[in-house]
Amino acid sequence: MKVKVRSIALIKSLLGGSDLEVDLPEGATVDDLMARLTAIGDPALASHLAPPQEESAHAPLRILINGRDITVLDGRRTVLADGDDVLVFIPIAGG
Amino acid sequence: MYKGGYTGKVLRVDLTSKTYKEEPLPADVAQDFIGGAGLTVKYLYDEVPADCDPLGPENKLIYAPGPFTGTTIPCASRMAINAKSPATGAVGVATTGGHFPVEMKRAGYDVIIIEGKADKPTYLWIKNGEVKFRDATDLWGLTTSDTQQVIKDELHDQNIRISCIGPAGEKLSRIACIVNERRVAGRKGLGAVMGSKNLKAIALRGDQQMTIADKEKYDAARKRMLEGMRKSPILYPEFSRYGTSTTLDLTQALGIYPAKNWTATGVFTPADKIGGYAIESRGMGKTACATCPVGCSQLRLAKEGPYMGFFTEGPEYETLYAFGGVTGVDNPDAIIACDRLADELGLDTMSAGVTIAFAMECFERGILTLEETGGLDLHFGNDVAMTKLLHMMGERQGLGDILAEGVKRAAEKIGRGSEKYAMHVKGLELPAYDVRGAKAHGLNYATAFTGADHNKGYAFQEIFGIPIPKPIDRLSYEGKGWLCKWNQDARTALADSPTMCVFLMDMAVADFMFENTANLMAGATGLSYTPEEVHQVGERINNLARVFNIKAGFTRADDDLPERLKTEPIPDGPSKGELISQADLDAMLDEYYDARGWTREGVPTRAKLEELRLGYAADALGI
Ligand code: SF4
Repeated sequence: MKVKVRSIALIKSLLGGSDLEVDLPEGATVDDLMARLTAIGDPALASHLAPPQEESAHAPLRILINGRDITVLDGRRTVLADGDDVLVFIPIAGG
Repeated sequence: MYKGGYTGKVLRVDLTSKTYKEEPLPADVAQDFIGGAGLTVKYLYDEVPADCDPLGPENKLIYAPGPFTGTTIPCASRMAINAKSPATGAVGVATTGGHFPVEMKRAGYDVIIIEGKADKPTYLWIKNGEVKFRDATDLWGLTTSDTQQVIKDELHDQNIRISCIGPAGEKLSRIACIVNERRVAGRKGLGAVMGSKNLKAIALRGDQQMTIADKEKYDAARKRMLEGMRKSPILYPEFSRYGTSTTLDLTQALGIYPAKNWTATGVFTPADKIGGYAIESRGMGKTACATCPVGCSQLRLAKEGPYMGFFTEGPEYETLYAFGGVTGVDNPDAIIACDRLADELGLDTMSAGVTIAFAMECFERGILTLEETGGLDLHFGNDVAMTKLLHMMGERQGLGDILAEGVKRAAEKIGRGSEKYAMHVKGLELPAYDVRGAKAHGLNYATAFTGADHNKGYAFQEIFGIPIPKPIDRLSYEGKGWLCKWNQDARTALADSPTMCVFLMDMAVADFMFENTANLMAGATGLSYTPEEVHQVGERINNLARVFNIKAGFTRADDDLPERLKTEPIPDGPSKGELISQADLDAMLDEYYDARGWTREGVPTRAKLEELRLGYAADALGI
């Protein structure tokens, strides 16, 4: 199956600056996708995309699937489906 | 009794009789309302008749920094200004940062209340306990930066801090702001209140140092806060470099960056031209409010075309919407120029941009003719026409005269069905989040006591994904009444009242925000609160403001959203198809009123008001 990966700012530049289409086996999770992105992007991605070490109050990395934050889905264990639109970024608050 | 943080003094100035006096700040009022927005709501409620004409002499202009302002607490450099709003007719509190608020504390005051009306253009010169009423006839008509410079020259002191209006405030535009340095208390038309009093500016200077009640507690609380700031992965590395501008990149990615008067969200996507990363090329360094080690305020220079050479502090995210997305403009230099122009004229960028976008839609639909626009081709995206129209609004010329009244009144004047294209709640133009895709944020637009005010109950959980107090799905309706109340009470108690920059709340102290304020209050003022009591101060202020608004004639029917948001789905992008139907809004409102302990008509109950030590407000409502 194929999922679309969009990103902004730092993560986008580490992923080569454009949106991607990633091929994944059926049943792949967000964690699998992050591992794949780490493998294809800049080495600096590893520390940003890795799961948070501790249960910190708010991990900076934000992942949305079809507009919904994974924190209200199944977290990094959320299973992806063909055609999903995944947005990955580190947000800056303030507006 | 407080032992530090506060100066303990309220200055009351009567412009009609040219007299002034000092009064003590009562200890119980400080305990219950903390400072800033809280104190201004309390004084407004007590002293301004809810049914008065906002532009009449009965209205009062109330300034209040907070107990943290003027101390060494980081990012505590803000103040609130309040009056009955000429834009909404409701409580009109707006906040600003910079350096004036600190200087006001140094000049000796926790609150300044301006009453009456001067018989001719006047400015106030306040220095260490003395107030002078000075002739401002020669300043009338000047832009805001010229006003500040001329006053400094006239008083032979370049370190004076000044809060003033531009031509828009003088001409009673209901979207006029109040400017200090290059910072603004932008919204709710407070500039017109100042203009209606013939007051051009307040200049002040002082050298009082703030007393700290408990040095040990203060140092510990401050240290913990600085640590939170240092540990934040975004505050220094990113936010300090880009400021609020990259919020555009985020909201566009979420599909909630409003475009073309809210007809093209997800369709018009200009982040690659005017987003925070794109406009880095216009950067000229940055600046900071007093006591702020972050310095998020970006300085930018227009580099191309007819706007070349325009310099501004900004544009902030909201302005990148007002003179960008909502008007369909993707020229960064035009936005920089309009940001500066609006500040100089003393117009609120947000209200001005949304009102221009309304005129553009009316023009495209044939409601406004070329003759009525004075020959301006007002198609979405025409930045030259936008700039010209902004100037006409500041000076109230031609169509600008009608638009200077703000979008609600402009639509009423123009008529011909244009009312449904006027994007406002209670007369306050909509901010830069398409809340069809962020439901609690939308409920806040509908219920905030100042009208559509993103800062009154910002749903940072929905926009930034910060899971505090818990993870929130921005697209669901469940629990949003409760969340909206939580946010409104938190923002009011933590940011707008003590006072503290709101960006810190989200980025540095989010996981101990109530404790942080309680600790800092104990250290700075000696007043003690549990974290829950801090949150409750926010609830108290929201309830008292609600009662003022009810007395001014507001009902549940005013807790509404523009028709477009309830009937037209977001046309494209990651939030495509989303809207907030009337039924969904009604359900959220019911839940919100329940969470607040109000009736389903949106009226606080006597029990709730008494719980908040506001029994006198229940008496006033006759309940
Ligand atoms: S973070 Fe920005 S707005 Fe907040 S106090 Fe610092 S400079 Fe001012």
